[in-house]
Amino acid sequence: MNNRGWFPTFLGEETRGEMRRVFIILILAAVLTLALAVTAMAATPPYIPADGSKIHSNYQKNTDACAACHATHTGVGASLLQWADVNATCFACHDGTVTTTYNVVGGQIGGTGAITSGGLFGIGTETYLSTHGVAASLKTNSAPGGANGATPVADAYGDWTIDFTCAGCHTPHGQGGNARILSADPNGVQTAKAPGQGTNAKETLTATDATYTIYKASQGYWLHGYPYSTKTKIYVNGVAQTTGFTINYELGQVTFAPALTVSDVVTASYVPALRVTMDVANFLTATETVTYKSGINTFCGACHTDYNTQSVIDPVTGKPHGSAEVLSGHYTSAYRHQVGYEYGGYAGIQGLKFQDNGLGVQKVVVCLTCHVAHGTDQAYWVSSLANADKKADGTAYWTTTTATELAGSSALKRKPNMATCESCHKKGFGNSWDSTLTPDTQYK
Amino acid sequence: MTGKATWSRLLTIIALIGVGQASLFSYSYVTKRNPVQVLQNNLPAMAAPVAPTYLFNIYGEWGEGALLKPMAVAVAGRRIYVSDTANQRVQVFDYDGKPVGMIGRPGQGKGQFRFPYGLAVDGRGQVYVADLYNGSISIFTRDGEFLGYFGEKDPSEDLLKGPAGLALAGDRLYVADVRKSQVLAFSLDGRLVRTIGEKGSEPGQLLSPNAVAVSGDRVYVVDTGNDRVEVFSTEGSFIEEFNGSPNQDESLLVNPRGIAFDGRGVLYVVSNLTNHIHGFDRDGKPYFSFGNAGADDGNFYLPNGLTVDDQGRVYVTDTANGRVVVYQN
Repeated sequence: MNNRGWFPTFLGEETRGEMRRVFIILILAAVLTLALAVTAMAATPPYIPADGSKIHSNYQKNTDACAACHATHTGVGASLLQWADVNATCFACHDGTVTTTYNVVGGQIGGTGAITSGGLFGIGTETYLSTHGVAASLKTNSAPGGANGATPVADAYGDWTIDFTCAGCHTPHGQGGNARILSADPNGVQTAKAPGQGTNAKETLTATDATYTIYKASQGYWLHGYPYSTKTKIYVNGVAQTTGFTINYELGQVTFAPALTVSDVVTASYVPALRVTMDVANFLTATETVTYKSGINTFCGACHTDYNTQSVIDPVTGKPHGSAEVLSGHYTSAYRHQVGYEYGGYAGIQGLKFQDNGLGVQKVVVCLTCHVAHGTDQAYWVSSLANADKKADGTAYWTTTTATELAGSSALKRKPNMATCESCHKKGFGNSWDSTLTPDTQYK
Repeated sequence: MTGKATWSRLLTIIALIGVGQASLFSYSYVTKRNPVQVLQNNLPAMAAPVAPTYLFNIYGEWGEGALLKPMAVAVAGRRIYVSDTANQRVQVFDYDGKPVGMIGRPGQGKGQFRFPYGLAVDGRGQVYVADLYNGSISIFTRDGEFLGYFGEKDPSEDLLKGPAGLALAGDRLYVADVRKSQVLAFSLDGRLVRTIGEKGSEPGQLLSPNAVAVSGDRVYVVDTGNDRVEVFSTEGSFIEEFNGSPNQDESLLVNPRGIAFDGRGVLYVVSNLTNHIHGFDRDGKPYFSFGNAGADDGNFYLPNGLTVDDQGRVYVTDTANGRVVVYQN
């Protein structure tokens, strides 16, 4: 063994052993580098088409496709919008008449017949239809857990005057780069935290890049694509800059001219985008799967403020809200189910969706664990739960008989009635009195 | 020939002319057709055709009877049929736009709709209704009685997957199937005769075709997903394509939907997202455009279905405004 190998024998056994160790380390380093590179490539949001094209942005310069939403001189809304009805505009294509995109009315993936992860809005006569009320002419302050005042106003937690439509959650051109073209600034929640109005992201850099011309934020996420430059402040050595720099919102970086020196300290105070990431595999095919990666609770919490119980620590008890022991809420006070925590009993639960915990295990409870974003009806339940909650004989539990919502509205739950709760809490037997047991043992 | 006989013959001729005129008048009155307009709109145009002018709107009854997302329209005899899609029914109007009946109700069973879309009426007055979500075409009597499914025993068959626009031409019913990205040609007894096109974006291929029209030996398919019109022979051979622009990469048509010919050979195509109707010759050379975004008379928000009758009326379903806009040539 010692006489074989790639290292010359005249080096001596000790030297060759050292070289072998170095060689093995180098191989391991190369493998690790390759693995990291693959991981980095895999981290590229797969919901961006492979050809790099942007959603709703591939219009030719001399068509008037833009005029479907924008009017140059006669817009009736901000951004030159000329919508008569935002939802009707979206549903012109997303109703199944264009199969190269999602049918959000019927809840199907393109023309495949497979159901969407987000559910459906439906026509309106579906059995037990329950949908996110985009067509109800509501303001965002109507959201449960939001600012329920009679007169909506903007405050530090968001802009409650915004109409709730498809555009309340989605930004048509995909600004922000979020999964499912989700808005980077839903309910104005991010800009409400702009400098001087609340918290904002700051980053200090002690050295710029090699040319000392470009400052690129390495953390946070610029709210790029939005005209918020007046709320972004750039400081060099603690002095606010008014000239000599250009902010590129598309790239999230600042270019200085003239160049800085290596000893300059740059601080950027900018409005961060709300980041929502997902892994969408087999995009727009019948086998498409969606894995939530991050940001869903914060996103839903932009309007359902008081229901987002993951990040608020009670100042008195030091416990997180949603612990069932602490009243929580900015606008109303109540005990609320916590979100944003890892649920140990996630394994084997069918029909609910958990967020990835960052280590490849889908066990984090988020809003979309129990709810769908768009809506449900009986047919959707039966389809989505086809492989969930089997009977003892292995046959499907969910039929049109069992998928019956007794309360009328299902509140967009993934399973009808309390079945969503039962999936984790398994209270079934505990709730039926067994006379042979004492209260202590009954509920133990 | 005596003078008396000549006079008698003259009287007979005058009487025959009178009877003919009375018959023509009666027919025109009963069918509400203007014979001059019928002639004008069914002879080849002497000059370059111009855009039609706004005539009236059809909204349906107030309240429960109002149209909601009307997707397609067909006219036969003195009746106007409108797929009242979001109400999951078909509404029937007389020639003045007065509601006279409804066909179907919500559901997945016989005589029920989830997304009623394309319409056609045959010579016997039978009404064909395509349902995009149920994946079927239902046949009804003119009074709304369900007769059966067309081309399939029931919707569980996969011959039709996403039927949208229908076009009846001679003894063929052409079906634009958005999920198959094909046009299917059936005999009127429901036998599949031919498929036209295949899924794709190359010439002769289709993406989500929403409607079809037939003129002579040509089949014109609105290739919605590719923002263009594809032209095939009735045998299924690809002939040509156009999108209203000299440059095929820069389409005049954005999310095109309804398509139909008038009696003069003018082809109308709905550009849904730009709220325009474009008129072409049979080779795709633009004649005119009409309509704009708006809720006032003659304009649309997201127009979809289109048909032209023998009197030169152009009917356009105006989905977001919940109405049918009627123009007159």
